[in-house]
Amino acid sequence: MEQPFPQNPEENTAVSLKKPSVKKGGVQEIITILKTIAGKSPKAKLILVLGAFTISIVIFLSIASLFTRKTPGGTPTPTIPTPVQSAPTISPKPTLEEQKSDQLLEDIEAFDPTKKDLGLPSVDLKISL
Amino acid sequence: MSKRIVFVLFIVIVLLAVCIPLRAQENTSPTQTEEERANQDYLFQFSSYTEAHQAYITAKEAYQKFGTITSQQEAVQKTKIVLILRAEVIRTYLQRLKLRLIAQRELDSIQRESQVGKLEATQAFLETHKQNIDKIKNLAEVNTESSRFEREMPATNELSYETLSFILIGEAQGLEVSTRNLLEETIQSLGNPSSRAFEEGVSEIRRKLTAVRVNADRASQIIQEYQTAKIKKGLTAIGTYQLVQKEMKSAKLSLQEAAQLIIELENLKG
Repeated sequence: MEQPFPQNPEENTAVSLKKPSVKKGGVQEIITILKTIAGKSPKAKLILVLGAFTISIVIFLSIASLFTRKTPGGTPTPTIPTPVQSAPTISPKPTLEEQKSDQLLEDIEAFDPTKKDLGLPSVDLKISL
Repeated sequence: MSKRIVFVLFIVIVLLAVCIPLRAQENTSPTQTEEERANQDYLFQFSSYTEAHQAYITAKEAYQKFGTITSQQEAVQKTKIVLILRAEVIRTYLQRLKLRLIAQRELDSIQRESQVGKLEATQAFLETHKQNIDKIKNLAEVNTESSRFEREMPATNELSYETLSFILIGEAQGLEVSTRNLLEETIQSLGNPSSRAFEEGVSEIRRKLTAVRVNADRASQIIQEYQTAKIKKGLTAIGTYQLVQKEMKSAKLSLQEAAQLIIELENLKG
């Protein structure tokens, strides 16, 4: 016996290409609620508009901050690529102690008993008319 | 239902209104450290002072040459500007000293706080001096206010040299502590070996670090002696500072040797 051809395949087939209507209905429902609230009083409408405006600004700022984010050290991420050595030499990775001792040596080198960077300023002590 | 939604929306708006300015503040927060900002401020004030000083010299010469009321008014105005900037140069310099001193965590806190108090008192004097300059209307007042600053300057210089001495001691003490900590970490990481070379190395490093402490203690005594008996013993601020520098040069040498020895100890592991 021949099966009747379904008039609307989306209604009858098990695997439908149509997205479930629940989600769309949910959004529509929210919009309807918001419209209802907005229609009730001008104050509510104003609050809704302000809320939407603020949310859009926050989203915009969040996106903008992603592009302008800096490195934790406060220095901007370098834009100019550093030159790559043609034949890089593979050296063993320094241990934590080695790194610390190198840093300590640098700090000791930087210790300046003459304190040139904090020299007393020379100002005119005979200003008069 | 609708009331509840309006309430929720209101809360969201309030929260956003609070969060957005906070976020904006976070974004505009300076990336430089306070000390770097103070350095830049000082350099800017010094550069402005140099320019203003040239303008003051020109205006003064014009007044001495022509002696007119207009040239006198011009000279008073230019002198007021240079006096304010001169005070600003010293104030920003003291600010740099203060921040550097505060950063010395190993320095005796009583000494540090006492010195910070002196620096702040001098900064307050300079602020008052600037306010007084603002109120000046004639030539005589200019000269009076300028000489007030000039009388205060020797004491300010003494304070600066004292502070520089404390900063040096604090930095040496900080480096000594860092070196000592690194030595202990190295001993731990090497598993506390009991070879003779290792033990000799460790005790040599400890001797060097003790020498740094001795240098720092001597330098502290030099400042103390200066503070308590400078008039009696005829000590000068700069002379005292030079003695402290000598101790610190010796401390630096010991620190370099100690750090070098720690690196040699680390090589024992390899």
